[in-house]
Amino acid sequence: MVDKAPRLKASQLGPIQAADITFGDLTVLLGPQASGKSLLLQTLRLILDAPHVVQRLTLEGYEWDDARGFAGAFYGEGMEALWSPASTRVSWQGRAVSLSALAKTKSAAIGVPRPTWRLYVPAHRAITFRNSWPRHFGDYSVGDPFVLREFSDELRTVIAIQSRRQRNALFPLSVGQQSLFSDFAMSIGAQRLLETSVYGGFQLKHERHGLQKRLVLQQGADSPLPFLVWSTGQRELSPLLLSCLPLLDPEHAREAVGTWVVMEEPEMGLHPRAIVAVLFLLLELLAKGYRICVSTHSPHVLDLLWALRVLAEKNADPAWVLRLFDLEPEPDNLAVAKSALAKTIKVYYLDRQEAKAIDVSRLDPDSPNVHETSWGGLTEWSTKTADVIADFVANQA
Amino acid sequence: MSSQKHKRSAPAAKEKRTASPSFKQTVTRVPALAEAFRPGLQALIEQDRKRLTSGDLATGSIDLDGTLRRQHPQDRRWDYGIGVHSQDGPEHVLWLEVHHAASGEAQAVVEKFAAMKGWLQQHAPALWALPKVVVWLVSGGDHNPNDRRRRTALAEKHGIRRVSPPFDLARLQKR
Repeated sequence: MVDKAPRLKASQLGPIQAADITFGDLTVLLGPQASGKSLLLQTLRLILDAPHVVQRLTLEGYEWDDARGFAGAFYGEGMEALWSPASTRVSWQGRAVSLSALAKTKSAAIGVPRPTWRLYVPAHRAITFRNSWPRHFGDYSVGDPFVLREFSDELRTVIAIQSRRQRNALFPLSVGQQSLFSDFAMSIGAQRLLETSVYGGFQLKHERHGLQKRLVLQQGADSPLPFLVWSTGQRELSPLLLSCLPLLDPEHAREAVGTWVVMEEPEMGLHPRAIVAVLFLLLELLAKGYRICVSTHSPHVLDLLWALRVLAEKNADPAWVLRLFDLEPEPDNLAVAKSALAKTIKVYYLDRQEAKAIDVSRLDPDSPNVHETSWGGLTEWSTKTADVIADFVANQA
Repeated sequence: MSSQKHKRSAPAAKEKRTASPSFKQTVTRVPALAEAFRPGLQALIEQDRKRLTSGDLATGSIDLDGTLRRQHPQDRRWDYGIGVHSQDGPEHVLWLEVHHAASGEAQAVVEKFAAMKGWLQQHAPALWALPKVVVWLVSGGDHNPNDRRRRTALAEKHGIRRVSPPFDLARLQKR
């Protein structure tokens, strides 16, 4: 258990001039394109578990001479100079962190568990598939980001394990077979929301296609659909969902407390109803004890955080949380909702103009800070359109 | 519209706008409001004045609620009218209602607006005809500042902006 709230400070790191992030149980990063959200998340991932990053790169045959080379291997091609030895300052929990020291980190031994790190779901998750199967680490270009290759490879492992177990349907999970690895049940709420909003009667399955396995969607006895003909939302969500399912496994869940899960833009490609389903899945992971950090461009994510803040401050019954999701107060749903009201939530806006991270966690509608009332600019356009129409209507003859 | 056409028509439109009578002139010609005009934001109670920024842009203000209370004690009454200076266009009138956002209060605001509109159209049509912005400044309640459905409904049906404080009068200059 971490007693002190985790804190990451960074200055002169890529586009970030000054960021001082104190993490909650759930931390959300907002900001326009190229404001440094992914960079911060990747840096967090590196700091939290450098020995396994080094191990993985070394096993794949990577070698670097200095910090710049290591930055290229981890962040990706063209990113070698973003962490300057002269001007960049990064600290974690008050201790200075240097890239050159990270580059010289001793590789973790094979089989050693990762005590604090769990999962990074990158924004490029939909391109991890080729021939309807996730690509392995070495199947990417040398200059592709580490977090993408790591995610792809871990996803391949998850699906391969399931494949060996001969279970055909990966999702929805049938009663009694509600996990890839055990009989643990995803909450009825999350399963129902995902099933209705994303898969709509289809099953996510693996099947043999010639001599190779592949993932397909299939409705009843209809022809199976390979990955590239799925809807955009299904292609975006399925890698995220499959990577999260093992986290709900009780074997992992016991080790969940304080371990980190990072997701870039979990809403990507999804209809608002499906975003709501993913949000409940996030709350379920929070309830297991994972520490979650996400970046987002979705006002729906902020809608939920604002509602949770108000309900928590007023000591609302957890059933009110379930009303947000149109879910019944069944015991496992209530457990997720009750946990959500007890979590600390932090929201930061990475302002590109001021090049700093601004704490907007309260999402207070009466805040004098426009970044807070506009939820990091996510609703700026929506507000503007309403205001323009209001003025037009008011001034009609 | 071609950009050339737009350029030709802009000066003419500006000339027409700057010929508009001022907020002060128009208010003082309305018998029921003649004594209500105050310079700047002086007609506002201090608490409401603090909900506005760039107050120096206010050319004058009237306390509609207080002024009309004697004549219409039973009616719903809108709070304020405020003249707002504009650098490159006509002076605007900000019709401002400071009101909390508890459930059902949107309807109360709409009813106040309808009452104000009806009164002004009957008793002060020239004042109502000035370029205007109608704002419900939300003073409290656990309102979602980004309630798009309610915000767009108020805009489309009634021409009311729903705004969280502080409201910056300078925003009206950029219209």
